[in-house]
Amino acid sequence: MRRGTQLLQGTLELLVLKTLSWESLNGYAIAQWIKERTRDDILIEEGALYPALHRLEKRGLVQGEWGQTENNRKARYYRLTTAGRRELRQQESNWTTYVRAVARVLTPA
Amino acid sequence: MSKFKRYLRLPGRERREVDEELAYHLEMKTEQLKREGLSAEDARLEAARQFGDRERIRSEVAGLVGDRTRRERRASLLDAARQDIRFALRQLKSAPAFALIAVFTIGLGIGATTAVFSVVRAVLLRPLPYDGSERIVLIGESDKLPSRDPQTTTSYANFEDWKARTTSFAAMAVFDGWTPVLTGLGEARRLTGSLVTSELFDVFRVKPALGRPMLPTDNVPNSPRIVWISWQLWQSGFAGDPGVIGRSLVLNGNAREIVGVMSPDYRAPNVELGGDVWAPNYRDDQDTRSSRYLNVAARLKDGVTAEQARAELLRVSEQLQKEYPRENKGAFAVLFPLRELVIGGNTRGPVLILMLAAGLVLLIACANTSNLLIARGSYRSQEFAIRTALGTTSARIVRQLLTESLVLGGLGALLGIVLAVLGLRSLMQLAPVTIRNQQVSVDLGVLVFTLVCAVGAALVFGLLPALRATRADIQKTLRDEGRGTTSVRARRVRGSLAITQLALALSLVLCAGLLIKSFARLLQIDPGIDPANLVSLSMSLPAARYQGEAMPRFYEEVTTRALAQRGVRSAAMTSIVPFSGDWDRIAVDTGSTSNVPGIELPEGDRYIVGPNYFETMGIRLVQGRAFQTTDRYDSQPVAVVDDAFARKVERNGTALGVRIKVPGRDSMATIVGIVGHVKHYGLDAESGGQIYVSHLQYPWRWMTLVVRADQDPIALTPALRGVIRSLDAEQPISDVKTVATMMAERTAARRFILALLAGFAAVALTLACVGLYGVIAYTIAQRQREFSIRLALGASAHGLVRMVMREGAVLVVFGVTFGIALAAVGTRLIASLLFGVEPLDPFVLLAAAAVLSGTATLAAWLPARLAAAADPMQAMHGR
Repeated sequence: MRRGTQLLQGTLELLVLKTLSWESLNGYAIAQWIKERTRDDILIEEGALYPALHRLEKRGLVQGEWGQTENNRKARYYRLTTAGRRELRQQESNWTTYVRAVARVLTPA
Repeated sequence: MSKFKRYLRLPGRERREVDEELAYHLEMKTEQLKREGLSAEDARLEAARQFGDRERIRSEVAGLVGDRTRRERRASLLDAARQDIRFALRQLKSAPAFALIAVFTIGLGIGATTAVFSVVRAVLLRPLPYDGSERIVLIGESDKLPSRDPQTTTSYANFEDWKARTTSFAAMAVFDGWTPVLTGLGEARRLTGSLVTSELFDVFRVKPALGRPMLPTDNVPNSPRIVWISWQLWQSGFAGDPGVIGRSLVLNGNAREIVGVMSPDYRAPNVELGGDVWAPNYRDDQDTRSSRYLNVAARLKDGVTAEQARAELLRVSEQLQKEYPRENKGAFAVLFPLRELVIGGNTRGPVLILMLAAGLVLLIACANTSNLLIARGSYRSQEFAIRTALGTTSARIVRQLLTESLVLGGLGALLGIVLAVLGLRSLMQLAPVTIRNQQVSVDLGVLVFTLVCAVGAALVFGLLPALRATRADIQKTLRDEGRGTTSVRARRVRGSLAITQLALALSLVLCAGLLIKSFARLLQIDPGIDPANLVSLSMSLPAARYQGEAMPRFYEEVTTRALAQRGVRSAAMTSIVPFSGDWDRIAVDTGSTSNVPGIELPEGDRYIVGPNYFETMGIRLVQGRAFQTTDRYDSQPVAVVDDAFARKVERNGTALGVRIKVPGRDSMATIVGIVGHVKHYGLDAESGGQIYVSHLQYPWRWMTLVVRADQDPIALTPALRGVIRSLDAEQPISDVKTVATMMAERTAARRFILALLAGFAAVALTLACVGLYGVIAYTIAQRQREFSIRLALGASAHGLVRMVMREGAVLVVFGVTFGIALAAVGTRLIASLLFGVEPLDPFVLLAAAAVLSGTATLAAWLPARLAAAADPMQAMHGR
């Protein structure tokens, strides 16, 4: 069993938005990408990615579309919408403020 | 919701997509794990483990997808509708003349139906303000079954037997209108009230707000004088004093103890059921089985239908006929709903007829609009052909066209509501009192009806043109380069629509014509009096201060002083006034028949009058003499009768000298004069005849002063009031009305229906003619090229006009023929509204057909002239 920190509530959506900010990806690719970037420090139940994606789509932050993968398989690709980009900017700055504040408490000057 | 259900609720395609998306992930993961060295089986298990609870995730995703797709679908539908509407509005804006005519046409139709429906709703549909009002019935008697015109009154004896022998009713009570004079509480005035039996309050489910209810023990002779007062009287007369119970109210000069205050919610349905005061009714010596003057109201027991109650009551009344063959001869008990009392027995039929007429107007408007749309459809056939060629489905085009119709219907409804609101205001001025008393307004319920009408109308007039538009041959239309096709089918459809309109319009015009002729006939009837400049003022002398001969003395003084006023030509007293709606029916004994009172004796209306009554009213003396001032209390009683009553009692060819017993005196009165008949109950109603006696010989308490003025009689009323007040300051004066007003009120219902139906007929005629005009104008536009060629080849302009007119004539002939056939059925519906005219009166029929053909021919001729105006060169070169 691998070790890792539990994911904070709502963070997954931020990670997904960030992942999609460079290119549109399918669900599996998103999972892979997040895993690589977090170097497995955060434990993600891979399946949880899908409700998150569809929730974002329902809110109009991402747009899903069926497309072809490199090896000619059908997969659902997600891209960030304008609203999604705006949301990402907002959440990023929220997150940084939050992390900085928590860090200030945890590391006394 | 269970997980699985959420997934299953998703449509198949979406469900497959969810599965596919998740499966792809697991597959890729398995592949990757295999590449990392796991066995196929282990890789599959590890992938599933890392994925998590697949069922839960699938259902969660399914729920989200479901929400999203539903919302998207709704949005796209709404978006399409919005687009359609925007497009429709643009279409209408690009053809303003068409839009204006169409909206106006539909507006007229919807306005008519909306206005009449608000009357129907107020008069027939809105529940009466009583708990379980549909279970309240009135009981009357009729000599024919099924009853056409039930007499709403019966005798106390019959009422008691009905009550004792039936089981269908939870409560049954008598009530009798009572208008006592109130004194000692501000200025003397006449109250409206009712003498009732205790169960009346159970029938209407009303309880006193203060004090005690009426008990059966109150309905016995010689019980204490008590009274219940209305909430309003309690407020206005006693300032809502809670100690009012036990105080007394002086009514008709007698003190009555107040024992209750009625609930503020109770609103009496009419005068007979009270307004200000209620007092116990009871059976006294005068209440013989044949003295029928009491109204009966009852409440059906729960679970008992009106039919069951009617049958039971009928059985009882047949028993009573057998037991009292003389008094109850031909008296069948009949039952009718309370509403009949509120709106009057003969309001339902006419109102429904008006609704039908308004519906016809709407139908004509629909046919007209349909016609316009078809014509426009032909002009737009190019547009549809191109759109179809570009891949628009015909369903999409039908939807677009129906949206256009709905937009037209909606705009028409808006206009219609405005017209209805404005129209109702003037309509209500014309309406008879029974309708005016209801709260007629365009309320929410009416608006819902209007909306349904508008949508229904839009479908009716829009569907046919919409379907036609998609049936066109694209190839042919496109090749035709916008010249439009001369479609025989289109012409036939439009022709039949025009015929339908003409036929419907004719039946309405015919009905209006019949009513107009009825009304003219009615006005030719001699009322028996001269109503010009006559005004009446009613009085009542309290028993406490006036007895016996003091009453005629007072009234003679009133007459003399009134006569002395400037502008008064003549003045007299009378107990009842013709056309006032009051009546005093009596049966008189002529000494020749048996002595049982009221049975098979000649009946007539009793008038107790002053000496110069006939002269004042303009009633002509036929034979013998009128009353004289020498006919005094102590001289031989005399009577004057009208010729109708004279025929009932005449002996050896004359009624003069015949002796009759008129209630009020024991001795017989000798008939000394015969006067002309007066149409007491209205020009269209029968009356049994009149019996006049002098108030000098038959003193009477409740008299009315009638005055004939030189000019406007209403201007005289302040002076006349002054005259009465100068004689007795406590004398209340009521019912100040001109006789002309009362006569008009009698014919108000007729005038109302006539005015409305005539209005509808005019609208229908106009619409039908506009429709015909449209058909002819359309034909000419379509055949302009043909006409040009004909002209070029030497046809005469005159000949062309004649050719077009012939087409119009065919439509008119068909329209008139069908119209007459329709009217043969339709006029039977209004038979009950006719007076002195047959439903298919040939004169009216011819006149209506002539009016219709005349206007229709004109409508065809106007565009027909254009046929000849075509410039051959222009048309030959393709415009």
